[in-house]
Amino acid sequence: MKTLRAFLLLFALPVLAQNASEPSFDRLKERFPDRSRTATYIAIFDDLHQGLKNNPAWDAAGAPAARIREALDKQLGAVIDELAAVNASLGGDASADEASTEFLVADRTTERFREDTVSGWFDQPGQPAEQHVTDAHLAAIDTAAADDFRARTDAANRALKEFGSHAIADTRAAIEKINAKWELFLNKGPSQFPWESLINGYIIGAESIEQPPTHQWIVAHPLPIFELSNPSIENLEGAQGLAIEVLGHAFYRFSESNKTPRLKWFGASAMIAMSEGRQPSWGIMGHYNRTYTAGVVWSDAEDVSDPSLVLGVDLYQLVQKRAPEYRDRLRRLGAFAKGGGN
Amino acid sequence: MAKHRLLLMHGIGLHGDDWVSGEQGPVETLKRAAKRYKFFQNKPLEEHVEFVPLSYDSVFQSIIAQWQADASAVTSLPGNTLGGSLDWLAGATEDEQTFWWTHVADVALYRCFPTYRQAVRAHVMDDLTAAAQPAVDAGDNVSVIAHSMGTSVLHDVLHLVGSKETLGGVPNAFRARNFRLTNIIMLANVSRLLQTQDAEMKPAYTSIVRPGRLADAESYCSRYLNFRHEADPIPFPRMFEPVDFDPQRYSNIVIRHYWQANVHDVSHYLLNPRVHIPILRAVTRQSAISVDEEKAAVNPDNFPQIGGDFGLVQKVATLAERLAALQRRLGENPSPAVMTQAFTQYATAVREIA
Repeated sequence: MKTLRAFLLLFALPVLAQNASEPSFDRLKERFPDRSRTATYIAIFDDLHQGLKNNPAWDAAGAPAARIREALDKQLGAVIDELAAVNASLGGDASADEASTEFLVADRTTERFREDTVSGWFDQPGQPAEQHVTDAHLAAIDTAAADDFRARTDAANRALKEFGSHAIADTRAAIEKINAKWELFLNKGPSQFPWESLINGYIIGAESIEQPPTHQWIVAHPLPIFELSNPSIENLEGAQGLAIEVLGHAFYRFSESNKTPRLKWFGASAMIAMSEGRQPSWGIMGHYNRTYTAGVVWSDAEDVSDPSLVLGVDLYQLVQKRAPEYRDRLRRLGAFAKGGGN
Repeated sequence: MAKHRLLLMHGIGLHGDDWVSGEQGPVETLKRAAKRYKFFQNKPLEEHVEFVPLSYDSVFQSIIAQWQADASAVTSLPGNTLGGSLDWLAGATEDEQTFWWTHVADVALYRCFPTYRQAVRAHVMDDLTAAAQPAVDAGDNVSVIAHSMGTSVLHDVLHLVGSKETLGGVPNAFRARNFRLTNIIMLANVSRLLQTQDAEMKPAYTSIVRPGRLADAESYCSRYLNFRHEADPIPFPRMFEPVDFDPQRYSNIVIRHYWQANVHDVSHYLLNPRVHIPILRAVTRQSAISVDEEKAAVNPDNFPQIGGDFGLVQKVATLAERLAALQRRLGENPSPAVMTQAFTQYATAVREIA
């Protein structure tokens, strides 16, 4: 089998050496169609590495090309070592997705392949001079060897890019979710007036970009309400007014449904309500998400003994909308009860 | 040849979807500038570079709109028990378009409200990595150019993206070991002025947002270009002047032209050949503009210090005097109140002189 491989390589390499950069990577794609595992990439780089050693074009290029060949040999060898280390750390049979957790051990080497400056290959400040390979260096050696160099570095770069794209996609998905959480925090969480945002920002803070706050203080928060005295299903008319939540707290729970972040929150506060034609009254208020806001208030007025129900505007409108339906159901239930079930 | 992907980040103020591509916007200004040079005459700039706008002002606008809606709901109640105490907030709409709400509020929200700051960063992080992903997959170069407050937001986002080991529980493929930008280009850089003490953040001089070698995981770009107008009061306090950035990879260029009253304007910066030539070279190739072309372009005969629609020397003298006074007032380390007042006065000065 090894003989056959070497035989095939002998055929393949001169072709590789004669072609520009594009065919080399295409050939690797055909040769290694399943590129979902780290081991495959090790084989790809091994192929590139062995090809460099066996390509007669380099022997023919003689001494001027030897340094360049050695520089590439070292780079390819380093990639193989690093990929092997990744593979070993992942149990030796890791998929590319799993390998993405460590792919940059290898990608660090990838960077050496990327053309950073206009002057060309491997020309990085701080790198030993013997490893610099520029377009001028390549122009000075045999064309077949120079083409082989370009094809191999291009193939190596593209193979490692492909290897790394799994990780990029994973990270992108994670970042999208992080941003979705912040958007939920802003658009679906408890609305905060500037002074509340300021207080919460400094008391609770937002230490991590990955996670919006999970709770907040409610401080001097005004909101419109409807106050219902002696509410019944037949009479749900409320007096419009203003509540000020003096102090309270809200808690959020972020969850995920079909990989989409969701937010639910609830809160409670002590409040003072001021409704049209009524004396100010004290009470408590509860929230569940933005729609459901309700509370109870007690008045010191002599002519008011029972507590009143207070609803937020959204909930009040919802109740008003649904009230006829509930009244109807109640009437039918009453009629059913009177008729003995007939 | 693959296109260089250039991401553009706006400064303070309202920016619609077309902020980047408008006739007086940064892209058209760069395209017009490029046409003067031989390299771009056969193949225009847009065939070398793909421009991708990044935006964050929608986050601020949504916060302000929420405040306004909440305040209006209260102030519109019959009897309005709170009197006019929330009117200042209820009037914070786009209709008013006051300089404070459209400009200064952005800075105040970003600098003083940690949760909103993080929301903006998350938004830009999403935009930036989404814009970079196709280029990364294709192995193309990615550069960013930011203006004014955008330099601070960009700095913070790049530091987070480049330095965090994991993001959302997965290994971060955009960290500096894995990914880097080709160029970071800052116009009117305020990344030091607005730097914060946030747990995950570092000051502008010590963050990862610095140029370095490819193998240097403490850097996030190959080249860093910084531009400042001498009279621009915005980047004046806590000026960005690092002393330990690699001089081969970092350049700080101070410009002195007066072609319009608003010297802070992004396109006013880009008009200057001392600004657009290094940028055009950075996103194409060093040889794209020859040294002779550069010498001719910066020659005062071709690019006078005072020009454009701002030709009256007297106006320039008045503006320069007022801007110098503002800079003196700001000093090295202004308080937020002084900063706010000075920036508002700057807008007034520009309006009056224009």
